[in-house]
Amino acid sequence: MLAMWVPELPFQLACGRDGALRDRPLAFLNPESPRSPSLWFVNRLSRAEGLAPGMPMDRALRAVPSLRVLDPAPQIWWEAQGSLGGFLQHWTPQGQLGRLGEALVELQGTQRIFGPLADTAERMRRELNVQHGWTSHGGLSLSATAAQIAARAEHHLELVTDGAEAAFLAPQPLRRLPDLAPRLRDRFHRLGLRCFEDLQPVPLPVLVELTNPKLAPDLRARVRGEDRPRLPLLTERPGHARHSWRLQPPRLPEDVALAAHCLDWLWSDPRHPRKLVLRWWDVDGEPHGWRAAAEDLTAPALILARRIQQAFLAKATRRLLVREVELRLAWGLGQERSLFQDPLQQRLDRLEPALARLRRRFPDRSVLPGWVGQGA
Amino acid sequence: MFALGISDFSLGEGVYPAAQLLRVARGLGYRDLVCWDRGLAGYPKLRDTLEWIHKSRELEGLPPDPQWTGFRLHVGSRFTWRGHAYGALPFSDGGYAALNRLLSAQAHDAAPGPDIPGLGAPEPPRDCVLLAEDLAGLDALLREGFYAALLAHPCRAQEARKALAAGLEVVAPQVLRFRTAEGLEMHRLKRAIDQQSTLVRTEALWQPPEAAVSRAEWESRFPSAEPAVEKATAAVLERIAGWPIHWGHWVLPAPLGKENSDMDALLRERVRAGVMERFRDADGRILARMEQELDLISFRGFARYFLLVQDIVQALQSKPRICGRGSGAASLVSYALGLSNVDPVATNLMFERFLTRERTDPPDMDIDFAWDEREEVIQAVFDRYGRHRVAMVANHAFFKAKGALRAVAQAHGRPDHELKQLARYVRGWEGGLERASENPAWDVILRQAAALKGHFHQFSVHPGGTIVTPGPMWEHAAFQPAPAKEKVSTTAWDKDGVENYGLVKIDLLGNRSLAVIRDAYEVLGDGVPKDPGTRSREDPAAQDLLKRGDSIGVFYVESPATRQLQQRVGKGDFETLVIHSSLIRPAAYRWVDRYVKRSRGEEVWEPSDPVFGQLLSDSFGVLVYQEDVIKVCVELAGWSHHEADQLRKLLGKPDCEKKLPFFEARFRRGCAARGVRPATADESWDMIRTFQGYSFCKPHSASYAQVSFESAWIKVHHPAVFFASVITNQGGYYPAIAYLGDARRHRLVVRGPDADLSVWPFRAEGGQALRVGLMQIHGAIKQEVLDLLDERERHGPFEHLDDLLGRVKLSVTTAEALCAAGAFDRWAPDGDRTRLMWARLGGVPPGVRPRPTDVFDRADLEMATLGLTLEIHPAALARVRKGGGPDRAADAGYSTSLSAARPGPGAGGSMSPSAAKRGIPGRDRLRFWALVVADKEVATEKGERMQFITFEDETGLCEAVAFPDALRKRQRPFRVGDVVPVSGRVTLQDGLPVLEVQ
Repeated sequence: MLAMWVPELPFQLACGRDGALRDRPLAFLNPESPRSPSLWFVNRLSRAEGLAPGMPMDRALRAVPSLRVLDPAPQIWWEAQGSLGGFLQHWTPQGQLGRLGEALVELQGTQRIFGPLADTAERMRRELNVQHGWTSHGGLSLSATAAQIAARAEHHLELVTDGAEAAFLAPQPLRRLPDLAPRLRDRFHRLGLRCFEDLQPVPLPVLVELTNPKLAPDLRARVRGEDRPRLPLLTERPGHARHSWRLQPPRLPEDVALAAHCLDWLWSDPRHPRKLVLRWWDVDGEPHGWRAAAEDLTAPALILARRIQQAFLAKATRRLLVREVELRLAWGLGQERSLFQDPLQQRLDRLEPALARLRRRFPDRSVLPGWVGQGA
Repeated sequence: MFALGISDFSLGEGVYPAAQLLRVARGLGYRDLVCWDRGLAGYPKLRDTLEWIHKSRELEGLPPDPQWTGFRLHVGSRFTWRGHAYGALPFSDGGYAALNRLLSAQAHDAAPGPDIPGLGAPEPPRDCVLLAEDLAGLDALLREGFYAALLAHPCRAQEARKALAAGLEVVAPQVLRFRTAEGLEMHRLKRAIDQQSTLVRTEALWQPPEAAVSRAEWESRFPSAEPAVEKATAAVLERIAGWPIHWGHWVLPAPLGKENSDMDALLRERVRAGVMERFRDADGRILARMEQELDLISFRGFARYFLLVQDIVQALQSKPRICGRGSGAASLVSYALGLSNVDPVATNLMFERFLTRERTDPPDMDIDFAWDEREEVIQAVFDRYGRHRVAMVANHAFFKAKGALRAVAQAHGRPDHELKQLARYVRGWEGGLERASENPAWDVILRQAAALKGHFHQFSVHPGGTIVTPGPMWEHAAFQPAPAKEKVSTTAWDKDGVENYGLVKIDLLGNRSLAVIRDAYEVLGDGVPKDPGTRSREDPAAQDLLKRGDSIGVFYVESPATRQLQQRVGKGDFETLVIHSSLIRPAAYRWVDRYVKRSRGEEVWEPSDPVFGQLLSDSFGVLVYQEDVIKVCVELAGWSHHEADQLRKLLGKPDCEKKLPFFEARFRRGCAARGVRPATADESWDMIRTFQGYSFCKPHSASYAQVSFESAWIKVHHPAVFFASVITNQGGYYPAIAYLGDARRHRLVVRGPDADLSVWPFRAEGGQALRVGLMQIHGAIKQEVLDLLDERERHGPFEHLDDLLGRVKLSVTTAEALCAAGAFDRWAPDGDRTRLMWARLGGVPPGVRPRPTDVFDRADLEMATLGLTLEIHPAALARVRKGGGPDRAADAGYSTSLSAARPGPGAGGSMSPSAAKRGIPGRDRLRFWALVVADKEVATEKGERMQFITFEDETGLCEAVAFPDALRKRQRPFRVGDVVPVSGRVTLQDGLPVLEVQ
């Protein structure tokens, strides 16, 4: 398992755009305090000069005159994170993107294509630098936790060999354990457990009492470097599509022209979906969802788009703006086909382009594919 | 012809506040207006506004305005019955009671509340003109045997024709809903706010054709123009105009079980007995005053009122610890009946301040109970008099700028983070709203919010106002279940409405210091003097403590401002404290510098008029008490007591700015007529004008000063008991850590919580030590801690930790919290709490080597679980960890000046080594780490934010001020509990060192 870590990705992006920004203290402006500007986050050079997030900009500039304060560009950072995902897909299908500049990918099984894992990891780092100009660090280990912490050590590529994970983790402070709840960290601190090595010998029943039965085994495996999580696919499965729409600026549900967008999305692949899920997030970040019923799916695209819109309006009852909408579609194709295909099915598949043209021509009529007619 | 007016009290519908509705009705040509809200909550406000229109002319010395002469307001209400909309206009007392009964029954049906005996099911009221809003509703009423008429609707002429053709009665008064498109939009906005929905999803209840038109136009239309309709409408008006609502006459119930007694005789008997008990050797002066008061009470007919209040106070227990508030404390009768805690003869309180022959409204009798007894007292009143006769008084909340903006923004669907940001901008005062206009998307929201300001928003419950009626409540007012308060009903009217009607409100309030004194006296037992009130007032040590301003924890005089005032004046006697208790209130506070200079003889006070010399000599020419305003108006402008009292009441109200110019005109005219020099009139009015906001009357101040003295007496003589009681009751200006800091400065030892020695509250251990109670431990489950105490009580102390864990089943959370707080420290002499924590988990597992706890860890653990530290002050901890801050808080000179003046207990302030090296602490720049123990935010004249802060470290306290520049640089205000690096310059303000934060 390889953990990739691109430190200070936003600052690297800014330096990539403007070479003059390299090797100087940088900070991003906090977008939430327009009247009295303050720093949002700062790079390491600034931190070394004594600057910290939240500091008023005028004071920071007085303290460090060479400081450059940059306008934040979250959209670009978001896209950069997407590019990182895209880059990793070329190397392995399994992986997971973490926080900005963080990713975990499974390299096991790629040896026959790319060679030994350590070489692959090194090549990935180099190519990331060549393609995007980003400096990155990697941690290679069978344990996800060990890989993540090794990457964070920023030694270009840190290799934790099989069986050495526990020893590698032992001296690390517990605060480096990813996703450890602050409350639990405080409890461990009070019990005098400050490093991984303090926690490693704690028996499972005690851990269960300290945390909960669900969390304890996983926690024990992580602190001992015995966690081997099965990572999801970096991409959508074949036969699935995800259309997301970030509303800029966020708007009221009534102002979201969802039907028109849904129609575009539905037409982008002229097959009838077998599964359709609409998800949206409001400005408080709360997720909401709606799943289309089976009978809705047989409706023509125009009607289906309207139904999605109606369902959205009926369920978006919070008095808040909507920030993001996402439509997930699954067609059921992409599944394994048997060696000897059903000739009827083949004929129906060949009919699909014709069906698609018909649907575009008669958007308000139900043009059903053969398999629906057959089932009915 | 008359109009039916819908005001903003129709929640989610009405768009007109009272004044605007009256203007609209008059502007359209009407002289009779019926209050047509859902319920009668808005009627008193409309009535009050109409009365003010006449009163303002009278104050200006102008003849009555012909435009408003003869304008009449009538009672009416809309209601829903069996799904149909109706309205009722009572024309007799019985009809009014029936309408109230219906409204109350419906309110109690709609929301969970107490069962009201005798209220019955909601039925349409008899003795009222009933109007149905549609034909189906009319039909339903007629079938049930009620006589009713159809109320014509502007959009449903056909319906009226049908009714007329069927021989039914149709009336056509115009309903004033809205007038313009903006009005309709406001209606939609209010609907959205009421339904907690967004504007785009909200449909208006009303249509554009329902807009109000001029009376002439309305009457020329069908069906108003129809002779039969016109006649029926006129008949309705004639009928309702013949009945005046009972308004402005006092409704005084008798105490329970004494309804048929002679109240005057009963009062006389009880007062005489009370005087004999209170004064062992009552002399002629006291007896003469008693007789004088009793005669006056008898003359005014207030005997039953006194007896009722006594009955209520004694409802729970025969001798509760109370503190009488308000002007009632000036009465010997109150004192004899046990309704006040201050002897008015010994403290020189004049009875005239309480009751005069001219006074028309009943005396003000508010009672404070210990905070933990108040709810029981209120429930006891409900139980004793019956839930059909008692109600608490409602509060009417009106939209202010910030609330209006929030409500409108929510109706526009703005996100929470924007609202939070907005709340940050406008925190503390109203001036910050301008910042919202930086965002252009907020233009419409700002405009609508400005229009919404001043509209009725919602009902809440008055903190303690309770009314009791002689018969069922619905004979006088409608009542409803209290919002967010179980088993309690409230009136639909607020305190002004209730009082204007004639119902007498008794305030039953909670006071934490009474509980402090109660608990302390309970511990002291025989150590309490026989007459603690007099004893404490005359105690030189208590007076000295107050004079020094060493009054942290002492009731009402512990705030930094009051302590500084005490120090500046340098007096600690009762009379001075009475003045200071009132002077520190917002109304009088602006004159405090003038008062201090004159009291110290630094500024010579020569009364510009001999009247000032007579009236205000105690306070050196400064208006201090509410009655000072009355006295000045009566003496200088020749007003009656009643008139002056109206001005006094106005000064505490939000609409004061609007109405004050009318009183000013009258005041100046009065002064001129009596030949008062214009300069004197100017000076007097200047003081009256600025006497706005919350203020006290002298008896109230005296009553509070009495409690302050009793607190001070306990603090001086039994500081351990005092601090234990203060922190246990969690009442006061400062957090617990600040009280413990003060306890240490009074040479008390603060001991941490202990599983074998601590009890739930804080406790004094001997005269010199204080034990932290287990109540202070956050994170421990209360029931488990109580079980632990119970087990210890039953089977004796725990021998060791395993014994404790074996005898009491503690969860990991509770064991962890107790251990972190140090409650098990007795079993770890080396102070290693880590080892103790593992005990609950069966000991340290093999292979685990937990880090032991050191002194800094212990301080962290204590801050997290207790909110205070025992060994090392948080400021010292920060200094060690983060470095810097060579100075100490005591260097600002405050504590050194205190210790110089006070060789006795409490001399905790000590000069830091750095200060000692430099010589005298004083005008210097200081840098130190400190804990913020008090903060007060105020706005400058320019509307900028500044703060007064009290810092504390292990050496003492330091008063400081942060001006707007400093706060801007810091970006956020200081908050109680913050440990902050402070740098600033010490300045002397009136002889007291104050740190200017930089």
